[in-house]
Amino acid sequence: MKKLIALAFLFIGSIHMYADNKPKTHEFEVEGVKVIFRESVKGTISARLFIQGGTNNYEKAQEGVENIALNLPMQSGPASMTKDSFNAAAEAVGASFGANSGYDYANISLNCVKMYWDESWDLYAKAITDPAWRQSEFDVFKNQMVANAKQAATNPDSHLDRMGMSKAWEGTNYAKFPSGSPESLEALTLEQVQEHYEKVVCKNRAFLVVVGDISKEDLEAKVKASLASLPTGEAAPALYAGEHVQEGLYVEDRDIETNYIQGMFDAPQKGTEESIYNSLALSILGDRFFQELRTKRSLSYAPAAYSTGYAGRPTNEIYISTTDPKASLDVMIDEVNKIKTEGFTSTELEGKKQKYLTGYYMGQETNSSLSMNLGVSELYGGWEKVDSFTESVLKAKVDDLNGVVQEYGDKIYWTYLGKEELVKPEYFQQPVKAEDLKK
Amino acid sequence: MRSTMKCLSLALVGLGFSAGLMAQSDLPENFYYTTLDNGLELLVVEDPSVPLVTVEIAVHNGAYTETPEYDGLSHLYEHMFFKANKDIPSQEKFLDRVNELGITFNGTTSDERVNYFITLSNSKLDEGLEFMNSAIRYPLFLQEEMTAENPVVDGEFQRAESSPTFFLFQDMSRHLWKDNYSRKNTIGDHDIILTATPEKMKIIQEKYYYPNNSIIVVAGAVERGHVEKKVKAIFGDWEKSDFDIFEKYPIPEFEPLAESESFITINENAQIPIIMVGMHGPKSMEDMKATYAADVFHTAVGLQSSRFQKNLVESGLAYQAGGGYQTLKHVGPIQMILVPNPMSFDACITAFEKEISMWADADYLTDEQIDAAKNQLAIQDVYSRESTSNFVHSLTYWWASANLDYYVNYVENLQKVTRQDMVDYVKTYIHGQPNVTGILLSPMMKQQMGMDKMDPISM
Repeated sequence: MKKLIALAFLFIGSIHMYADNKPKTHEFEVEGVKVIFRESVKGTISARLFIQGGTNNYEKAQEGVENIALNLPMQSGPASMTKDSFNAAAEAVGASFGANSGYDYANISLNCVKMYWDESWDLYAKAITDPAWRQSEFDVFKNQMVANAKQAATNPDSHLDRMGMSKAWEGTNYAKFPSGSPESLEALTLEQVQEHYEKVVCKNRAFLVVVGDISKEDLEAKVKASLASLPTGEAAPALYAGEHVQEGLYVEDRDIETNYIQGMFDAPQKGTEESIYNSLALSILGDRFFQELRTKRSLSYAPAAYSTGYAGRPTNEIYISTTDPKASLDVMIDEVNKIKTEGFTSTELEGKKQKYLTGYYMGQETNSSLSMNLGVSELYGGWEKVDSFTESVLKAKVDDLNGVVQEYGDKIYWTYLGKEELVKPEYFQQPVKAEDLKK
Repeated sequence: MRSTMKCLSLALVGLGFSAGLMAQSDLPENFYYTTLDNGLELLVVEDPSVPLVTVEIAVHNGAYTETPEYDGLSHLYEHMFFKANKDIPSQEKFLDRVNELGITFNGTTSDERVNYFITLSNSKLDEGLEFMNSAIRYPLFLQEEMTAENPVVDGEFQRAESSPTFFLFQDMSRHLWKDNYSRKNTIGDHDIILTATPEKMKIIQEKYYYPNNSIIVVAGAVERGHVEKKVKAIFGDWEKSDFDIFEKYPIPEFEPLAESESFITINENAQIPIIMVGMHGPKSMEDMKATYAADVFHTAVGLQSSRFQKNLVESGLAYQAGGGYQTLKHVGPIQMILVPNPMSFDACITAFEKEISMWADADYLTDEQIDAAKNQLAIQDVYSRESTSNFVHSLTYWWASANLDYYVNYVENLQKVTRQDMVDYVKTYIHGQPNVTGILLSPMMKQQMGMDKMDPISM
């Protein structure tokens, strides 16, 4: 263990000045497996196998299947090892494995320290290419997932978000819960989970992102010896559906101490320049919410506005938790109308640019967050956008921001979770329409 | 505990620093620790990996300093930091300045620390230091801003109360800390928050907000010499207290539990039963050895390969089982969480008690598990250092709940933990000690399970 003590302090000391140099990223293919590799001098290594398709990969009745299918191998390990020996080996080298399945994509992740990269990759790759599908381990894991799904419903934020998606997009892929509902999870069988895994973990749906202080040659050799054996499979169907948010309201009565409100509206397609202007605009709207709802009127601890949504459904959200829904909704819609009719100021934009860049660099601090950013950017138009992001932010003009908020989002789908007696449908207003602004 | 904390006070008069408390040789090579003449501790962490700097000021304040009449007011004070001060006349102007400098900011309040932090471009370090200086030293506590902020802080409280587990934790805290509940209750009391006055804020300031009760950490793409010079120029005339803060305002002892007790928390929004067990653990500065043993022990017990996890979770008796010790100077709690499978509730409790009863057995953990636990804790430390803007928060947590020296030697001291140290920890703090056991149920679960009372877990 002495080796490790020295290691712990060595890492910080070994960071070199690279902020001024463009980091090196390599994109290559190893026998049909696409790889994006970013060099980093930090002492940790992050690998993520992204799986495309998201909620398009399964039916509503089987929601949660992908989440279990990708997580179980990371818990149980490969067929060649017992679960015990797999976990003991991972614990000995401090490797952590995980998987997450979302609306647009999933990823299977490895985080480890450079010293144990070889051992950690070996376990990770074996679990992906030759997963054990043992009934007893599946049963235990499924029960845990069912309990998690029940517990998630008690968290108002998580439940509000789920309700918003499932009601606004009823009948589409985005109405599915990627982590599953207690009912859908209960109904899943090991055979369904295994079949799903074999369908989606294939060369045509997966790509690997690695960030760390290793050589390209080393990574190539490792992929060749492992992930290259994955089946070719079929490409994921495109997610884009081209539909827009419709006006609507869903109210769920819950006796809790404060009330949660979310409004969802259209945003520009992800990965475009417009989407960056949109993010800046929503971030400024968030600052105005903070001023108007929290500082001036004390209506909420947590008002917010942000760009969110998914590839097929790019959206923005406005949000608040409040004991006075009526007054809060009035101010929120007022502020949305103000950005549409009066626009933003250059002072707001210039300050926001600097703040945005601060946030951007904070997101580059860890290899794990970098690998996530690279993978998500690749899915939404190309990993290179991670590096051109600052340039796009800096060149944004007030007119660009004004243009996107006038063009997008004149229909809001509202979701409310809290005391039903405090609200009436007419409180949930709609913003000024784009065609009226043009007049 | 190394002796360096109490030695060396070579006054570097020209710079206005004393190289006291901690020798540079103990620190990682990019850490630079000094103390200003007014007692303000300064830690510079050089990390040029991104062009940012984080400035954090932490104060020995928080729930542990609160009598019932001040329950939650360290937290409210933290909110007032981000409002009018002598250089910035209102919160609106405060936010304008945040925007101008491109600052990401926040603050947190916990048991034994209140910290305030900003992250911004390293090219704006000097402005950032001035910004923090104005806020920490010269808050105005305007009546109108307090009137507006009290319900906002209460709104944060109400958000917490919207989750059923919050009530389980609150009930646990009341049982564990009795008359000193307010000193472990960061979120506070609704009435105290809503009726707080500027006078109460000033009293907190006069008691705790002094340079000799604070640390400033400047971390990121900065040059140590420049930071030290600027910090001295800006914060050097901050007047130290002319009294010993914790001698004048002592923290009372947390009386040990007299006997085990239990409770049921009923909440109609609960979806699954959750059991929580709480006990009084070590005080970080009085039984440091036990704190290291506790961290290794609970990490080992939480490993997926441990018999504890296999017999409870892998067996299907529980959906989740784990625990840990929170490092604090004034009695850190030991807390365990058990999410039982309702279909095998009694068997789950029996298995849980059986496992705990074996915790002091010499062969309860394998050598590999103990090594793996130490390894994991060391690797977690490596990960925490990767993000300098977040790592700063960990540093000040350790500064407050133990001291910086404790943290600097943390990984090394974990490696020294022996099997016997862990047995001693279990025998001293867990086996035979009273505990508080609570369970969260919905009214329907309570009825279905026929549960009128929950027996304390047998230790």
